[in-house]
Amino acid sequence: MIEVKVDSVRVNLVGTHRVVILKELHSERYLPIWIGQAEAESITLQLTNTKVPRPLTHDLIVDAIRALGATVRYVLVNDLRDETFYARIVLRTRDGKDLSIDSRPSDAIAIAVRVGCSIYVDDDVMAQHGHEPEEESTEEQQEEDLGAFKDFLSTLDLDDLDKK
Amino acid sequence: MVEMLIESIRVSLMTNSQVIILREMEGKRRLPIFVGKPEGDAITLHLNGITAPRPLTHDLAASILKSLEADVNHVVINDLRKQHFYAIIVLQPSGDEEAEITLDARPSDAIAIAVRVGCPIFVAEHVLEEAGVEPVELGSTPSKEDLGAFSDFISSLDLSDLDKDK
Repeated sequence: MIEVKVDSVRVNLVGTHRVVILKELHSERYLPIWIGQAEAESITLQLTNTKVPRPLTHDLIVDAIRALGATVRYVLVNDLRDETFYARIVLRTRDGKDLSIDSRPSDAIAIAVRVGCSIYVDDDVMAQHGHEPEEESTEEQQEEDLGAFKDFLSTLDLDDLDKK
Repeated sequence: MVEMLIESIRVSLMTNSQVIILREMEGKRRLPIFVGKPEGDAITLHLNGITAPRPLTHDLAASILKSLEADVNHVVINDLRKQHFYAIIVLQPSGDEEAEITLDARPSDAIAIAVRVGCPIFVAEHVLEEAGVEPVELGSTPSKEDLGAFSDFISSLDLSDLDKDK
């Protein structure tokens, strides 16, 4: 199990879906997970400490868990099948028994940020679907990358500028 | 407390919000409650017997309550302040008939959970008195007074204008 934190919640401008980016705690590896708008808002509101006048659904769930004397030990994104991520919420009951509850990652994360518990990703899921940012490019490579712009610039006839 | 049924869920075409119409079980009064789209969808999906491939947030809430061996006794829409309805979810932990746990909730969440666990939905009498509506009897002949606005409008029309636009 690899511990992660919520790096960011991003908005897709053309759809109603959002992406939550999980970042490996001790490494530069990221796991993006598509989530629904309502769950994204719930995560964002909590992370920005925005007070809402009435409890959101995830606040209610956390209230229920606490009122029943249980605690959330951790949440785990444990699988990816048919392009769908799966998660578990691990609760410890009043009697000290551990329960693992099936959940979507979005709900698990929305609950984790409220109770402040750890968020984990299964090793295999991270190995297969995690992204590492590209290495910083060398100066030589950068020049090469900019070649297209240079070519474009040299085709411009700046004498034309005044004609309009 | 008055027991209610979910009569319908209506979608506002202008905004994203939906309206749940609760109907008195043994009476005619209705209570319309505006809810957010995700909560409205959560109620509609369940009432239509549609199971999402993955648990929705309210399915998760119900499964957590079940795993923690708490029964949902009932839910109550118990207050209306500044145009906001308030609700409570009353839980009964297993093995303790006496103990009741009350959770503060939005009516939409309370109803979405109630339909999943199959518990009764109540409304406090004072809330129903304040915000309940009684449907107008259909079939009764409208009085001249009721139709006054229409008569006034019709008599204000200048029918000789009709052809001028063409």
